[in-house]
Amino acid sequence: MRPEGSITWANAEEFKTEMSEAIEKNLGRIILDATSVAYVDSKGLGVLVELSQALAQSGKTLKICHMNETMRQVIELTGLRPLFECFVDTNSAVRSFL
Amino acid sequence: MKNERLIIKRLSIVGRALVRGRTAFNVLIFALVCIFFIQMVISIGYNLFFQKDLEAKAGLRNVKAVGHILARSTETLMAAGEVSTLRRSVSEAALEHDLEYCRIVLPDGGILADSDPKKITLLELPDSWNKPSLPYTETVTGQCATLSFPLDIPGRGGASLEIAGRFAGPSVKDIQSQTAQMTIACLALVVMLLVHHHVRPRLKAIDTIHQALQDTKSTQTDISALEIDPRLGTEALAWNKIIRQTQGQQVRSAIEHVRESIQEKSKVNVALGAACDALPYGLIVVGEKMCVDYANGAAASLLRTNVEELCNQEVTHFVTNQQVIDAIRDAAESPLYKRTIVEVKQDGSNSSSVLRFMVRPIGQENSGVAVLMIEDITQQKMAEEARSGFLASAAHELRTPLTNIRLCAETALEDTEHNSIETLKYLNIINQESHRLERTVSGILSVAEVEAGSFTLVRDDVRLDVLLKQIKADHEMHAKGKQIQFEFDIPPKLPILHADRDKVLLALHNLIGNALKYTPEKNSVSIKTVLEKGQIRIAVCDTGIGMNQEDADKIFDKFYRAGDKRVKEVTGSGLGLAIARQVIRQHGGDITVETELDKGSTFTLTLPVVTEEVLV
Repeated sequence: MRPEGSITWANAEEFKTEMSEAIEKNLGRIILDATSVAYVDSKGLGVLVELSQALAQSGKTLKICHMNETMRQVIELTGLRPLFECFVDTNSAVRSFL
Repeated sequence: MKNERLIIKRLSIVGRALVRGRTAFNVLIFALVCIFFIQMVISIGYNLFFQKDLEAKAGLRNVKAVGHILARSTETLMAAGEVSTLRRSVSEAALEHDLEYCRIVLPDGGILADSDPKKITLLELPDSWNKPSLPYTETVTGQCATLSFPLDIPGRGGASLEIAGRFAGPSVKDIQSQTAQMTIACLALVVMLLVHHHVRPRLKAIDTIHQALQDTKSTQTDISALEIDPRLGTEALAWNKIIRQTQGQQVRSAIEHVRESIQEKSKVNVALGAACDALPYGLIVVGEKMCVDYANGAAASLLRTNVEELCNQEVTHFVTNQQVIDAIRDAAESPLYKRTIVEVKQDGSNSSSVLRFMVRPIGQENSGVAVLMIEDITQQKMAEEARSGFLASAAHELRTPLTNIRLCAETALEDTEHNSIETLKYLNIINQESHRLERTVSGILSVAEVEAGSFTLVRDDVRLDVLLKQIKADHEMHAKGKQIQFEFDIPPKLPILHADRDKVLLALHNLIGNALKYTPEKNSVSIKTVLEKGQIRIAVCDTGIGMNQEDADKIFDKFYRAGDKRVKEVTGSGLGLAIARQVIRQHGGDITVETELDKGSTFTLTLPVVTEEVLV
């Protein structure tokens, strides 16, 4: 899934719905490509946490690749890094399913 | 009579008390009471019927003795002429001995002294009289005896002492005394009986408790067996109450203990459940009647349901593959059943998955339980297919030019006529195929590098406008040669990209090169660059041969070339677009295509441009 634009309170719920549908259809084999995600506010961060927790119930984690530096710092500072699997590029994320 | 009635009443009380009890003690008391009663009756009867004559005789003797004594003293006093003393003696004797009367009578009937002074007829004692005394007489009538003692008064004459005395029958006091004693004894016995009757149930209750305690084994935990018959009285009721309270305390203690054990087990179960939910593999425990006893979160997710729906349902509702179902049934029935692995392709609404089901028995005899583990191997399968496909395609792409090179070389070597034109032709073919082989190998290596992750990007500041101008210069001659209108629409101000210049150049070269290759002469190829929403879009539009949708969906696959014969006329390895897309995706961008057969295609290259500070 490659959302375009920032994940904020305005679109976080819609983003969550689409991600949840994709997770269910693909049995959790999903990668969030954050290339076009400029920033994430607290609401967006909360949605990411919820998605990660939902995946954790079936032994999976949310895989994110191509995070920009700001997004990476936000996740580190909020201590949410352990909830996600972060990758440099899409290929690495795809290979993690093997 | 009154006494008799009293006795009978008391005896009836005793009798009733005795009748209530059956113990030997009661019998003994009853016997004693009867004995005392009989003794009392006999005693009274004896006194009444046998003692009577004896008492009468004793009374008569007593009166006689009194008479004799009084007669002698009277004779003395009369001889002395002591009339007053005589009268006093007579009175005192009558009083002392309880005589009816006591008198001294002269032969002429004159009463000289009498216990009743009113009956004295002689005031003085005559000096003498000559009549002799009358003889002794004794008359007994009933309980009264009248005795006449002759008196011989020297110097005076004879007289007679007449006394009458009563003698009682059996002494009423004696009878009363005996009766009272017997009655007291009977009362004491009755009281003892009543006390025994009152105490006996209590003693019986205590004895029953004692017996129950003795009969209870030390290992017996059920104290309800210590309860006794509540009809034994208040002690039995109290004892039973104590037993029930103690039992209640035992039950509460046991319940508390069980509750604590359950809580401990729940904690363990919760921890175990959490551990199982952390597994990325599905874990299902199938119990009796193919019912799901336990399922973790991954199992529910892979079977496209939730844990609540999955548990306590038949596993066949969620697993439809018959081979898996049979394996579960066989594993549940036989603990020695070996592991079964079944790979099942499941088609969802928008995607398909491949799940690996592993069925194993628990390993306990007659457990009727099997374990089902589910693994999502879709990615592995896709990787295997891609690897197989790539190997097949790569082998074909390598083998084809090598074959051509070999054939041409062999033919040239076999040419005995040394035809230089033919030889030149073969050498040209060998040269072309060598180049083709080189491109193919290079492409394969590039693809391999990208997929292995060793295709690293060397990012630097890239001026896109400069890059596009370079590309334009590189392809202008090719376009001119085919009389293709080659236009670049580059905005005046483009942001500086932070990208790998060579890789971006490679991708653009590929797109623009393909556009020129697959566009016939006298058509157009345009490159339009736009900056929007933080992204650079470079659209390469051509009016070339285009593709159908089926080819468009696969055009980015490795070694894929459209089936159109016009494509086959053009040299290509089928790797260019695959590499270009991989490279751009590594930059966080993408390449998409819109096409229409015989109308042309538009390949759009998108690269992200982050230009603002991110605030969260």
